Amino acid sequence: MTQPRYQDVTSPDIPEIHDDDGSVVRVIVGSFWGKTGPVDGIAADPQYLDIFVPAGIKKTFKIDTHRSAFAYVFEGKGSFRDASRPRGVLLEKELRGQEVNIRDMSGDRTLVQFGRGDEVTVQAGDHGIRFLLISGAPIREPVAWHGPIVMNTDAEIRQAMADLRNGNFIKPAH
Amino acid sequence: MSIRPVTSETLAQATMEGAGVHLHRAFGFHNPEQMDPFLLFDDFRNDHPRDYQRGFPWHPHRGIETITYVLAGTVDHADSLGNTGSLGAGDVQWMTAGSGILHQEMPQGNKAGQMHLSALGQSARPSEDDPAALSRRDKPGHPRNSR
Repeated sequence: MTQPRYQDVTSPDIPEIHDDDGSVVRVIVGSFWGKTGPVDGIAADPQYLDIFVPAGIKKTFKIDTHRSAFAYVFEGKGSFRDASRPRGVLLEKELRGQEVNIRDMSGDRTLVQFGRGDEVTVQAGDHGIRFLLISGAPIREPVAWHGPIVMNTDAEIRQAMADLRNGNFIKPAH
Repeated sequence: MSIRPVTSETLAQATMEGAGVHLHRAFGFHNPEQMDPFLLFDDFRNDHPRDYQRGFPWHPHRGIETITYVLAGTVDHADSLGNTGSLGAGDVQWMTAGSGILHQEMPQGNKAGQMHLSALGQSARPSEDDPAALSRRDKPGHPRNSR
């Protein structure tokens, strides 16, 4: 197994991109809009973005088709649903000349999961929206999980627990 | 060009971890294949030190990678590799547990008592130079070979 590794990055080293429409993207991990985040050498080649979109603005963000993707909202509200593909009965209002589906607004602490495609769209609500947009390539390995230990098989979990009991959990560097 | 449809929208659920840290979990501990490679996402945003100050004393990790992104407050950390430090607002920390690590994370908050951070856990691909991992991967029927 790979050696344990730790990487700390301070805020000034994280690229921050300001778009003309007032949107701000901090590139924590991965590449985006020509900037590459400072964390590297990571399995699953993840992309981890901290995004602010101002009130009433609609943005799309490219995400490679093969990646799993989700957004987590922590300030403001917005809609991640594609307005050109409405579902069910829509409740709409007009905001800066654009129709906004109120029912579909996602707010604080909402996890939004996405299906297949190569872009994610967001329409910011009337106070803007800040969210983390996170994606990564699936590893497609079996997962056996016991608390803070994540392995492929139950046998590996039992080995890890035995290593903990026997005091040889930490492997010498080679 | 195709826009990804929203397949689900759910609210993070209140729970506790570590030595009694209040947090909201967006997902984790079930259906690992659904969010592959991601295993867990926790939202730690607390404005009351009593809800976080007991922190996450020394505990082990193996086979997982975690990203900690701090929004407000500071977190003191230490690990079995000998690293120690403090993460502040806007800082990020990546930890690859690999073959095994012991660490602790103790939230200190800011002057207003706020401690806001997010933590993402994901599966870690075995090292390319690990013979055991390579042989496992080459085994017929291994999920990786049917991609």
